Amino acid sequence: MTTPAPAEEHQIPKINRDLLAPLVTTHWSYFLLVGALACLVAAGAGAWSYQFRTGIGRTNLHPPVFWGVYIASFIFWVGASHSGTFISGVLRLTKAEWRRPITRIAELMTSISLMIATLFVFYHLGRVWRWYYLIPYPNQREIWPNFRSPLMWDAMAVFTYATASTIYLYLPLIPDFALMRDRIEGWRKPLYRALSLGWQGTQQQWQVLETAMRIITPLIVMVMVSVHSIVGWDFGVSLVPAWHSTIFAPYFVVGAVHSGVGLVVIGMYVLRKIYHLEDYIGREHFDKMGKLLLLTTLGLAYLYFAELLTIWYGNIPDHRWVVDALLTGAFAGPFWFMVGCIYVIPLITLTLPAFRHWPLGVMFIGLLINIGMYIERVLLIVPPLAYPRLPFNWDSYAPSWVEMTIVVGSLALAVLLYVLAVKFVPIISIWEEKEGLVHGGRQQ
Amino acid sequence: MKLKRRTFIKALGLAAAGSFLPGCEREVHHLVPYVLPDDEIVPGVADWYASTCRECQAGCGVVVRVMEGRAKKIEGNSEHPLNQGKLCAKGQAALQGLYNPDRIREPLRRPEREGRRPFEPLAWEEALTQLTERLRKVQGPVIMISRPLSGTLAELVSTFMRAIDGELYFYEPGADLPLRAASRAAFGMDAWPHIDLAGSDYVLSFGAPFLEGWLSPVSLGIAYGQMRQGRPLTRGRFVQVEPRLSLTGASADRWIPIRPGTAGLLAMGIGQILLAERPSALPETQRRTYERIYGDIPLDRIAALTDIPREELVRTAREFGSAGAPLAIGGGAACAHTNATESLAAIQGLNVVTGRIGRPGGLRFYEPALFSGTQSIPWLTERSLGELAQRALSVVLLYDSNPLHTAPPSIPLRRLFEQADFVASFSPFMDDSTSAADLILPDHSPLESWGDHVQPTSFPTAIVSLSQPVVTPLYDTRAVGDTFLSLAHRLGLSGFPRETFHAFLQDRWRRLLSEQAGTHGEEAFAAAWAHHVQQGGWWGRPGRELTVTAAPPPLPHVPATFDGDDQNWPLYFHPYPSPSLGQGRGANLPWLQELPDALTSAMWGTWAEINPHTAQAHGIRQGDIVRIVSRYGSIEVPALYYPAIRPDVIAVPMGQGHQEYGRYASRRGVNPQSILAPLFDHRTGVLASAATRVRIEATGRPGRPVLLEPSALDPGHELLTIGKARSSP
Amino acid sequence: MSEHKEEPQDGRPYKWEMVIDLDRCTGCEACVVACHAENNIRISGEQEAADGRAINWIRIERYWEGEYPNVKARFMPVLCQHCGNAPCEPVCPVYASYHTPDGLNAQVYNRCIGVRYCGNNCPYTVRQFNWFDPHWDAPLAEQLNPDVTVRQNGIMEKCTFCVQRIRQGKEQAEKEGRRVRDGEVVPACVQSCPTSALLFGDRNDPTSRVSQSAASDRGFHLLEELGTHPAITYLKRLP
Repeated sequence: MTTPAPAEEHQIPKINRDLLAPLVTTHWSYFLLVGALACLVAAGAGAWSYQFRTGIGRTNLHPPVFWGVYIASFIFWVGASHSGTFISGVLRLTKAEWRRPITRIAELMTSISLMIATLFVFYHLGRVWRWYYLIPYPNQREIWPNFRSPLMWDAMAVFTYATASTIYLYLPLIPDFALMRDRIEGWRKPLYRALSLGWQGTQQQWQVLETAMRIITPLIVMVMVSVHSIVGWDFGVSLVPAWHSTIFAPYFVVGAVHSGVGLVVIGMYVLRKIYHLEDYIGREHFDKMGKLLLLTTLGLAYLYFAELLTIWYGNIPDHRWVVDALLTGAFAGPFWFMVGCIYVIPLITLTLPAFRHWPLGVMFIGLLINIGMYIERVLLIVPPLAYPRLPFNWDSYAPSWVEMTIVVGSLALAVLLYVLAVKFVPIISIWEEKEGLVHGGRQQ
Repeated sequence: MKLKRRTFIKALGLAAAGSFLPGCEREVHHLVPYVLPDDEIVPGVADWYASTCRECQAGCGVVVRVMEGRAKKIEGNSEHPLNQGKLCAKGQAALQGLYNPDRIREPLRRPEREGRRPFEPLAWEEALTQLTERLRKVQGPVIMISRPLSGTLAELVSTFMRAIDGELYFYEPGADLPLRAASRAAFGMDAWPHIDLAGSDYVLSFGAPFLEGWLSPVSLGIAYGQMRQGRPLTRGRFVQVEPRLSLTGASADRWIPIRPGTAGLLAMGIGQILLAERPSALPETQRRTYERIYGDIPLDRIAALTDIPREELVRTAREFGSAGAPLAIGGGAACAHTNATESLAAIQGLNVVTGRIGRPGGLRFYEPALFSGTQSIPWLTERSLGELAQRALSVVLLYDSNPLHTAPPSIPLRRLFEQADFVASFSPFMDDSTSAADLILPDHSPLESWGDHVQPTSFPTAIVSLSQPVVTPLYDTRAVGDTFLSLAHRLGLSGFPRETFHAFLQDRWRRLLSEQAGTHGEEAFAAAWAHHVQQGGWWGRPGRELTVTAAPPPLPHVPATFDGDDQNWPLYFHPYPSPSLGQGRGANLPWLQELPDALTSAMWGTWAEINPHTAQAHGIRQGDIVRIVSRYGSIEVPALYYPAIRPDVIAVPMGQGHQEYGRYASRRGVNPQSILAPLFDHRTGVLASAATRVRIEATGRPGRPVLLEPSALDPGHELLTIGKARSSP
Repeated sequence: MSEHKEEPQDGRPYKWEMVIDLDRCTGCEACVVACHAENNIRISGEQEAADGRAINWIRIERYWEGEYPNVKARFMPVLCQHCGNAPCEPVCPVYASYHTPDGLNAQVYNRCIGVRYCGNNCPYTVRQFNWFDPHWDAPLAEQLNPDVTVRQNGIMEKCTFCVQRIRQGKEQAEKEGRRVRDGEVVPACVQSCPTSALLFGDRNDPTSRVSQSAASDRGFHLLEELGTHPAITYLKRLP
């Protein structure tokens, strides 16, 4: 790293002070929040334990709808994990200077989202105590998992993605860990010492880090595209009417980015508000993120329209039933609500530059998009299953209280992990922020 | 105790494993149920025992698979001429009668009539003594109401009742007595005919439910398969005439939704056309009689009364007349009217007019099978039950019959139980009627007892089926035959030389085999007996076919009467026996409760079938609770849209609504009998169950019918399922 | 492995197939009870049945056609089609759903972990899931068939063509050094069917009844267009 120009020199202590503040000072309301979240998590854990002890029948699933909100949540959280990789990966790759205060927020979301997504696989399994059958371990009976199964591809992809994104989160954390090792006393110090891997900030270390980042950034973007494509193929390669479609892979990727960016916007707004980071996360960031959201909205709408038009015009009965159920039938209510949330309202608002400069408004759109995208995930799964090819078996599905408790508990767990992480890592990459000063890409 | 480290670690490991894997593996309690196996028991090897199904009057041959002393499955006996290895749902579910958790496990007595105190158990000796005392000190008439018995048990029970000057009656709800009476009227044959469905190429059925538990359901099912696809070039056609498309009707090529109570009229119309358009094989005098009877009412009037277009009537008559082997049959709920016998006589007469009596594919009569000495035992009908209830009875004996559930409360039947000095039941289950008894001497399950059976309908082969115990009795119950022998001995009656029913049965078979097969001597008998027990009965020679010589004139037409005027009671009420539960007998078997009704896919309850147009006119949504009101009461059931029912008819299956019948049946669903008017077939006295008119009221409350076809409850269901059915091309 | 050498000299494998004649089927449901009794299918009870979880390995689907008074009911028994190219098989991540050499689509209960993808991907919706542990009120469990596993909570199950009967028949035939005779082995549903609407046998034996019936010009496969190659041939009901 080059030495900062004297003009910016005075800003460095301020950056250090501002960005390390959340780690050293804690307001009482923080504990209240942690307590409340812990209660929700405990409720979710209780519901899961109840389901575990009595049977997966505590869900409202029944033939022909064998998958419900657990799988929808899995997709949602895998989608949410795209926030980090997309924002920081793609923006790093394109050397977008405005990314600097956002990358860490996003990367943290990636890792936490993936953890939560993985949990949903366990909630979903009928015999979760036999989950290790999914692992290709050498065994006496020489039975391996079935690599022809999209679910195995999925397991592999998510595992790869989780590993890669953890590394991707960790690498740019090393200089910050070193900084904290030097500045923060107490129980965390030995931990930071270990995690900073002896970082001294030498020229050579910086070069190694930058090389590593240069290698891993494009890789993680590719993994990101592939992982959600594979999640899309879980559905796309099946025979289920209205799942069986080539558009699922790109659709899932864009959809994931859509909700992921929305989630980052929420995170940005909340952290900015609580930790007074207005100097770092400015209105122009919300403007940029708003533009990004506009882009994903348009992309997603295009893909969704293509999908529905093809099915509707093709008029193959098995597939049409599903589309009819969405447009005018049993699922029309949630469907049109979802369309409003993820397409119509974002499109109307985000095209206005003034709106994009209004952090609360953009945050609200991000929230709307995420609610909409969650409904979209459920609608993606349930209606096609509810209308199987032999109409005698048509049915419907709505989640049970156990399912909802687990879903809410898991959301609480995600937030809780994030809230705890804020006390452990700086939510804005300090060294990148400093680097930004040097590059001068950011106006104060 | 010193806890070793190794033990501690083991225990810790176990505890950990136990806590991590709750509910994964269950403890194995028994691998082989006996410490010292019986000679016949080889673990893991199945034995098959032949026996006879007692779920209905047909008496199909069954084989029971037994492993390690437990009955595992009931299947059809492939050597039995009646059912040829096939078996219906009810017959197979009989296994759950054996292992039913709600069987009466020991004799019970009710300490007081009025009190709410439950039954209390007592020993067999004491129970038998109590009943003996009652019978000895009897003040008034002693009657026994039993399900129709046959073979040796019928002989034993009727002999016993004669010896104590009692009266024995058979009672079967929905008994096809009008059919028998019609046969007597049309052909002079006091029997249920053999319906040679397999040989027919055009079946015109006036509501005969021959594919759902009528007469001999399995053999009729086999014949139906033959009729449709069993012959290389002929596929029999099949037309069903009834107000509501029944399960049987669902298989028909054409359904004619006739106005209730007018089946006989339609037969008359068809008869008119046949006689007018075709040369008849009938002798001149008989032809003239039929012309007179059938020509009583002009065709246009018949078309108007039956609500069938004249063209369809003519078309049907011509199809029937031009078929090679046409067959007209009638029965079931469609004929359950006050004019049942006349209607059935008119229907059966069509076979006479076309000369199909005693011909292949027609109605045939065979010499009654052996031991059918039960002909003289009178049957109770709902009308005579009502009359019986007016008498001051001393002792009422009840066997496997549940009139309090199967007869409508508008017949004051409860009186019969309340006024009698003493009521004893031999039923194996606590049903609505048995729970009104003072003393219960529970019977074995049929799978635990000896017996034989002669089927009541004519059949080409003479068959006497045998039942044998296939498992050791589970509980402290006693075969009803043995109970009667004990009673006879205690009462000191003569004519009962044997101690056990098994010996009594063998005596009769000794006679049978010496007469029929020339088996003489104890050794030959023992061998023959073993053979027949193993085979499941005695059969062999084809029965002699009886020729119908007497040809009495058919009965003149009588219009059906209904309870309620058509202004205030605009709908016909159409209760029908559930294909799986019958009139309620099968309701305590979970397999049958969970068996989806083939037409509505409903399980575990009662529903009302209503034409969608009628429902919408009344503001009744699919699945809503509808109140059905007659002059005798009202019931509330979930309504199911049923496209194949006349708009002026509402149908409800029977079989549920038991007050008492074990955990699976008690207080489940409703009993449509509870709103029926006391109207009877005026010739036989059998309840005219379809003669009540009702009105319906929407309650606006959603019901919760349990359906296998869940989409049926969707608001847009009609459009979806009917419009987009894609079953077979 | 010596006893396997005693298999029929021609060495042809068996290919078990079924024919369902819709012109004979009357919807009597004898097959449904037969299947429950043979295969230890749980009694779901009213609540579970109301939740859409009643387990039937074979069910009678009924489709209405037309409007009153020209309305017709059509019955179609639907059970696992034992597809030659089964959509349920490749999607199972643990090989619980696999194809046996004699054409059966088998479900390995011990291996199943309950991801339920197979249930989604089956176009015939014949796969049934155990949402809870089964329960029989004592002594109903005395009836359970010792040749068939009782399925625990969390696994998928479906029609096996009564594989326990097929195995027994094959073992018997092997002992006697012959092929299984036509009609010697039939699933419980076929055995009970009063109208003989169901037939079962070896499609590799051109003389078997099932081979001859399947060649009927009334024959069709359910959802044939999906290319699943079902082992069940339906014969059209005539109008």
